[in-house]
Amino acid sequence: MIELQGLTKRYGERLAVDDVTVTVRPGVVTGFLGPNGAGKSTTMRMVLGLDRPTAGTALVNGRPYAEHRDPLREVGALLEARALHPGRTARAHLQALAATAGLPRARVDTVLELAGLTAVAGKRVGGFSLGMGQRLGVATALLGDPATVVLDEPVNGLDPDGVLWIRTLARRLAAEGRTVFFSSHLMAEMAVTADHLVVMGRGRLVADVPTGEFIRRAGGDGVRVRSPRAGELAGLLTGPDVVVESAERGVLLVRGVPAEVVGDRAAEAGIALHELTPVQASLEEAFMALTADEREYRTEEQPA
Amino acid sequence: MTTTLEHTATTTGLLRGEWVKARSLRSTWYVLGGSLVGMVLLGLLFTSTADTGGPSGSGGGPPGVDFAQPLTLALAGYNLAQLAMGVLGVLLVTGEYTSGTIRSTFAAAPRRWPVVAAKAAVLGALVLVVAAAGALAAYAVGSAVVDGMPGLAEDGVLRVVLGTALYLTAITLLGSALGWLLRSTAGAVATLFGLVFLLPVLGGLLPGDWGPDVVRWLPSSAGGSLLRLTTTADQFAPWTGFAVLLGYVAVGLAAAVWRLRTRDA
Ligand SMILES: Nc1ncnc2c1ncn2[C@@H]1O[C@H](COP(=O)(O)OP(=O)(O)OP(=O)(O)O)[C@@H](O)[C@H]1O
Ligand SMILES: [Mg+2]
Repeated sequence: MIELQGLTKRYGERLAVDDVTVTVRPGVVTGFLGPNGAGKSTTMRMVLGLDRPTAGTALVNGRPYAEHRDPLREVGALLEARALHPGRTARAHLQALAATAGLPRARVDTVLELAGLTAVAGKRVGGFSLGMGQRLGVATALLGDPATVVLDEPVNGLDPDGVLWIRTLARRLAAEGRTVFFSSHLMAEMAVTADHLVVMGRGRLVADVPTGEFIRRAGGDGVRVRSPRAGELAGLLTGPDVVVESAERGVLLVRGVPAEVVGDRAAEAGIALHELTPVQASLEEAFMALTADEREYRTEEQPA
Repeated sequence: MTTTLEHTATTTGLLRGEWVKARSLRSTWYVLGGSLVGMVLLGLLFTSTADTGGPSGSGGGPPGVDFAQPLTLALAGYNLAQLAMGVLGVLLVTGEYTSGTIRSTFAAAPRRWPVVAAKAAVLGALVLVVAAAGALAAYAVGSAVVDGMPGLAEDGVLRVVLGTALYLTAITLLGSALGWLLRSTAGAVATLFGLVFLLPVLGGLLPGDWGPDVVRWLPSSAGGSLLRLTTTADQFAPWTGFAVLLGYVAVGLAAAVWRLRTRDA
């Protein structure tokens, strides 16, 4: 469990995290989304007691991180890709941390095994591929068998196998009753991995909702209709909540009316349909819509 | 409920963790091995050329090498060893910052001062042992090569030989304090070299009536008193001088802890 209360971090002029209050619950995977510079990594560093909040508090399992007797057993984190010394072997990296934190030595082999790194445990990290480095980062996060797992962009740079591995792992950790807080830029990945989403934009909390609701809220589902008489059909689909758009000639995107109703109306009017497909708004679209005003780095330059 | 800050990160755990970190890097052993060999070889070079006035035949050599004193000649390699060991002191700290492992370290042991202390203790012990071996070996080799080497039992000789190891340990710890304060390898190494090598040279340019009073307070000059059989009026007495050097180390490490507590990791 992670509880952020009015969490704020200012770096000089820049407000990196602005009064964020949110609770990340155990037993589910919570996705942490936000455009570049939104303040995700800063928030995670404050959870770990590495950066000092300017205001507010960050509690993990009921206490500030540094006040836990056994912090690595409470929270395990993968903060940045490759926070590893290139000259050290994977095993030495984990052994040093296990010793420092007072964890049993056997945990080192357990997490090496879990991350599929047993065969390369004696190799220097400098020779590791991006994916192997990331796996070692995840092994580091799990070293203390923690109740709360914080992963900052764990799928960054991973191949499909690696992405699947992280996804399965995150879901398993949540199923074991742990708190899993997981940031990523890949919305599609979040849609399948996360049960709940916390979205930040420019330091502020933009959304704290279940994944499904997030998608519905930002546009909702629709029906794609293809017909030679699309224009005529559009005239029949009027109503208070109905929105009909036409992306290309002969194709309509209809929102606010279920597919059955669209089909029935067309049949009544004798209009032939060549396609009738229910479509879900993608997480990308939902995310763009929600953070449109909060995005810091836009494609087109905007004067401040 | 609030049993504040009683961590399982125990002293032995912290020491073991730092020991694993130090020993698992090749650079540690290269530096220590190189320093040891360098001390012996340079001692051999200076003692074996002593009759002819040093390697260049001119009586010149590194600052502080007195060609009339065989003991100083045998231990002259400390000058080079302090470079290497000082850099080791810097690297074992800044390596954590450049690689990012410092965040894992502080996640494992959230309190800052025990980490600084554990690193200093492991580093200090490692360097003390290697430097003592190097100094004794250089002394033994020098004794075999040159006539008139004072015996270990003679006044101040053992103090100079083992003092060389103490001096090198202190310089290494000064490097580690600078590493914590500056977090950058280049910055900390440059500052350490400036303190140890450059300032004494610049100090030599000061007016004669008060310059020496400033110079003897410099870390390397003060600590260097411990490496002299006899000290002049311009220099601190051996142990007083070393105490001054240790004072710098203590202030540096205390400043490092204070910075770590007030600054983001
Ligand atoms: N140590 C620091 N000093 C100064 N500014 C910082 C520091 N760390 C972060 N910032 C600034 O704070 C803001 C938030 O950065 P942060 O890295 O938390 O964003 P993020 O959401 O993780 O972005 P990304 O998706 O690119 O990783 C950025 O504008 C960044 O420039
Ligand atoms: Mg980030």
